[in-house]
Amino acid sequence: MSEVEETFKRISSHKGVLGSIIVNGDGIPIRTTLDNTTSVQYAALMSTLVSKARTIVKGFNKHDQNPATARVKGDGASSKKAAAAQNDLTFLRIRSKKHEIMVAPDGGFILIVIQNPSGD
Amino acid sequence: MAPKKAGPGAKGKTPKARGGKVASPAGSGTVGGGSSVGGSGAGDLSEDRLRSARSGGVGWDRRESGEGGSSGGPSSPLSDRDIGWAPPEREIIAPKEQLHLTPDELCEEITKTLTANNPNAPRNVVRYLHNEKGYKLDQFVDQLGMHFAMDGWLMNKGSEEAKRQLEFERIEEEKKAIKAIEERKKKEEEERVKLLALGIPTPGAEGSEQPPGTSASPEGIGTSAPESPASPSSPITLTLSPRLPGETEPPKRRGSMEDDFKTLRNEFNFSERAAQTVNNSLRDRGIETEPPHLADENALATQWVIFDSYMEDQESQRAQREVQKKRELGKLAAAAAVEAGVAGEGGGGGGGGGGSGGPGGAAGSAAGAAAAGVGAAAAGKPDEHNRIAASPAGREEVSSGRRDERDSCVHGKTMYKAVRVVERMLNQNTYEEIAEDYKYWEDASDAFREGEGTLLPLWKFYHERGSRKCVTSICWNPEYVDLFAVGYGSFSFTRQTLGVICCFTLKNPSYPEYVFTTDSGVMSLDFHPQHCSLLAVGLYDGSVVVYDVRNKLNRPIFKSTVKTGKHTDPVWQVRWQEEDLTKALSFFSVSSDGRVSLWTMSKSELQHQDVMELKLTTDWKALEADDDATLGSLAGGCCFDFNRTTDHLFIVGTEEGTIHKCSKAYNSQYLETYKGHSMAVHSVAWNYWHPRVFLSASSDWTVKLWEHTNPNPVLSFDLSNAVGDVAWAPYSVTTFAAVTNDGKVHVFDLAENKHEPMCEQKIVRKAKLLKLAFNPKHPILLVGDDRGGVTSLKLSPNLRKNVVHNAVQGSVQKGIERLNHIMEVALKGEGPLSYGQDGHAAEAAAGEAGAGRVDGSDGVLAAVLETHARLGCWQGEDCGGASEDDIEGAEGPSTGRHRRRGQGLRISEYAVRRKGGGGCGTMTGGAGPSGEGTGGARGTAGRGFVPQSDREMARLRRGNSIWNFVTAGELVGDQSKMHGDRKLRCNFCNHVWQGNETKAARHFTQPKYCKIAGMRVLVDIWNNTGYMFVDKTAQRVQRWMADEGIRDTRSTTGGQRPRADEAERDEMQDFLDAQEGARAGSARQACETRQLDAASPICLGRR
Repeated sequence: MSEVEETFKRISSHKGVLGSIIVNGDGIPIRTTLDNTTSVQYAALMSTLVSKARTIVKGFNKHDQNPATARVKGDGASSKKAAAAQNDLTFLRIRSKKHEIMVAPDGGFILIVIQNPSGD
Repeated sequence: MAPKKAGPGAKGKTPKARGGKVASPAGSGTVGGGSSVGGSGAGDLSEDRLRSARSGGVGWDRRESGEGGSSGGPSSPLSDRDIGWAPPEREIIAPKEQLHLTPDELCEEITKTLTANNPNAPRNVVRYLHNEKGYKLDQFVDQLGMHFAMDGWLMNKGSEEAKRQLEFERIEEEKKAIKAIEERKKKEEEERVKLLALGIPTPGAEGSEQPPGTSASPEGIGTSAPESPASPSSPITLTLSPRLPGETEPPKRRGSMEDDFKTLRNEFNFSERAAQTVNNSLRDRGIETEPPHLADENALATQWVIFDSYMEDQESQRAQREVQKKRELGKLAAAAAVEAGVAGEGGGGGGGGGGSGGPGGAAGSAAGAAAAGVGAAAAGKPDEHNRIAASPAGREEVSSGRRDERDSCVHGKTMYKAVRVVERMLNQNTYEEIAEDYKYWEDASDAFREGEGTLLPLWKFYHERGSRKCVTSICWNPEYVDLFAVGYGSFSFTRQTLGVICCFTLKNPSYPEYVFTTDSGVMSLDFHPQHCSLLAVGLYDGSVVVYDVRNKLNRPIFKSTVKTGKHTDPVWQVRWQEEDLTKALSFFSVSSDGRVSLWTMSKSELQHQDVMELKLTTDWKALEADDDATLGSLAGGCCFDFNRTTDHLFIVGTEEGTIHKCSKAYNSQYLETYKGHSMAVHSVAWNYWHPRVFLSASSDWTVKLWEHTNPNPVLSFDLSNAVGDVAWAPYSVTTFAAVTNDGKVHVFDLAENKHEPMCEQKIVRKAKLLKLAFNPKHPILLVGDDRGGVTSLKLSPNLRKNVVHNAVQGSVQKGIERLNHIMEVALKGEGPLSYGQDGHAAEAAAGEAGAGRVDGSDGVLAAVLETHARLGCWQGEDCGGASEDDIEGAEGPSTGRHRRRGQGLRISEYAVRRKGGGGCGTMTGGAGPSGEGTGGARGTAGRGFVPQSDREMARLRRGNSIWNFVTAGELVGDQSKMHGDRKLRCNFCNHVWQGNETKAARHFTQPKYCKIAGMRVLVDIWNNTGYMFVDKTAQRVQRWMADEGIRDTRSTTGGQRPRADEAERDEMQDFLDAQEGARAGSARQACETRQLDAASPICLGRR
């Protein structure tokens, strides 16, 4: 069992965790501990939210004013530099009255964990 | 048909007249209806009418005839003339049945309403219902009563009726025309008759006979029509001919044409009367439905998004190109290979053809061709084969690639990172309160409590793999101050398990970041100060290993082996060295085998160099007397620490209770020996700031503070329980903490109070605290217990008072001065041992205090540790110099001193009844020449050794070859049922112990084998006896025998004897242990319980 798998299981069994979902790039839940409807709902809504949030973060990127200036002649190193210069969304944490939803949009996948922080 | 229907009665009427006729009956109908209704008192008819009705139907008729006259017929003009005009007479004629009403009553207004009910409709219509088989009252009767109805005059031209009317019209016209013709004919006839009468002949006399017939019968018209064309003489008939009834089409066409010319206003029943009612006002009526589902679909495309997608596209295109290129290359290569194969085969075929070409060209060529064909086929086959062979590989590659891709996504690095972050967040939420406490809580009550502090327990770290194991070491990471490693192992020799290393972080208290398992229990840990991922680990089996925690592999990057000179005893402490000029990474280790070693990480292995051999400090005179005594007798090192300013200087604490100051530069002798502890020193620690001060913690319940130039302790703190560990606080010169076996943490701040701890707090209820570690940055203290739990504690503000920091000018200097002052006062005024107990002082004065604890109290069963072999040697040496007073003075057995050692070696404990009142406590004490020389005088019973006679020995040798190497001594006590009651002496190392043959053999076969006995001895035992060897020794012996070419008698096949697997060996060992244990009986139990009590220095603490 890979480390991710192991950690995922650990998270799912953690105290107060109501459910955890891994959503792929197409917004389809590929691993979930919730029932189907809820997972699909979360997956759909969160994918939208994440893409919007990502847009916002990238839009606010004042580090490099213009992507056109960061445009490079196509060799790997400088493109990497350009990529490094730009901002990206790494995490989303939504605290509601009842729950906390943690969203990690990474590597094309979205990890969603819903926790009831106060209760057990 | 139309003419027939019109009938003769309608003859001579205009179509209008006919319409009038249609209307007139309706008019009369209303009158009739009116009269009938009038019977029921309906006075809606005007009085005129009533009057005229009285005057008789004649008058009525007269008036009516003006417009109608149809029914009146020819008589109407006559009646007009007869009556003439008469003034109207008013006479009211009431019907008989009419009510006679007074004028008043008549004047009375009676409101009349129109109801939708027909008063004349029958209300009692009964019908027979078949389904109910009976008569039922029919509720529904026709309520429609017609008071007035009027049809319009006009009709739709296209309608059937209009057609009929038109037809009729036409016929009328025709008739008129015919009539006219007839009249003309009549006239002509008359004229002709006249002329005839005058005698003038006329043409067409025959036609004159017909007219009466035609006028009489309606058929005449029909007959006359076909006839009319036959009479060319008449121009009218000719003109009429197109309208003949035989032709149906033309009239229709004409009608439709007429339609076009004059369209009527209303095609339907059009009433001239204004019968329009009030139009109802228009009303809007709507139904509100649920609004359709709305969804926002929008996207914001920033420049960055566009740029990203461009870059992605570019990347994918490039990847695609590469794949294509590769594929093409592959294709080319395959084609080349096929070509080469075909060419080879073809050549072969051609050769064959050429060979056979001699005798018959044709046959030869044919054969050649055939051969070529076969060749091609053959060539084709392998090619196909290749393809088949290649295809699964390719598929596999593809599938694996896909899998990789998927794996890289779900199980990839980024995902892993995300998952870890989420886990930490979960923990943050779960332990939010603790985190808040960690960050913000300061014990407010500290302000009102001078000289007292508290410890706030924060997270507890626990891992299931470490359960039921002792926390043997804790080490903070120097780089990541929230990360720390915990080593799990066991101090008990009999309950050794696998070792576990868990790297926890404060950010995730529920699960360790990294977990490593080791073959043997972990005893010590250290993170490299610069390369913070390197973790040096000392194990119970004496090996040292180095982990790189980044690898996350459960495999060390370096491991010391027997070949590279690993320790033979547990490694109690490891410590990295700062990088030297050669950049080689190296670390020190100390073990109870008496060596302090330096390990250098080379490319492939750990290179080892003994820096120090911890010789036992005994009476030097005795040593001189017999060098042999020192052989193989080293002090067991328990802990060490390097001076922070003088980096070659280090101190080593030993199991004997002495502390040695050593230098890396001189490995032959100690720079100083500090005697003060009477039991094993578990921890020594240099002050972080003060270069000359160090602390030591021991099982003798004390923590002592030393100044390294002074051989006696400066301060001593009795913590009334065995101290497991002591550590200086990194933030202060004067603060330190210690943990004791009763689960308490003691924190001292010498600047505040040098007599009492600032804080003495019980952290765990039942467990013993073994280790502690200060966080280098935060005010956090970690303590580990013997049940695998690690608790983090926050130091309250009072415990962090005298903080010094490099950044604060002069604070360090001030702190050091303060400590100096405290020490000065302690040395001058109250004496060096003011805080210790008297007993300690006495012991310290007595010098070799270590001996005191081995012996029992007078006259009672004394539990004595008889450790095997080597341990016995040490003990012998150790006890050699001990005074009998000490021995006798000890108030009971102490096993605590040997807590570690006892667990470290396979030991057998048993009780020895003391022979006399004297100090014969141990069978092991005072062995060997030195023992005899020094201790013999005092404890003859315990220390003497009377060898058996040669004859007896020879007898024994015949029975067991082990007696070649061991000399049997006198019988002692009555312990024959346990382990044998014979004193034994090794012929090589002069070690004396008690036991039987098995015990004798174990002196050689155990891991702590006799160092002096050579391999030949072992081989002899191996080949001539059946004693079990420990695994490693057995291997060693076998290897040696194989090298030397000595036959292995134990081997059945000539090769290596199949070894029992581990479980089996364990079982055997357990069995042996059980045997021994059974023999040891209750005394052993007593001893064991004491031992488990771990270092209860009763003999020392409570004198």
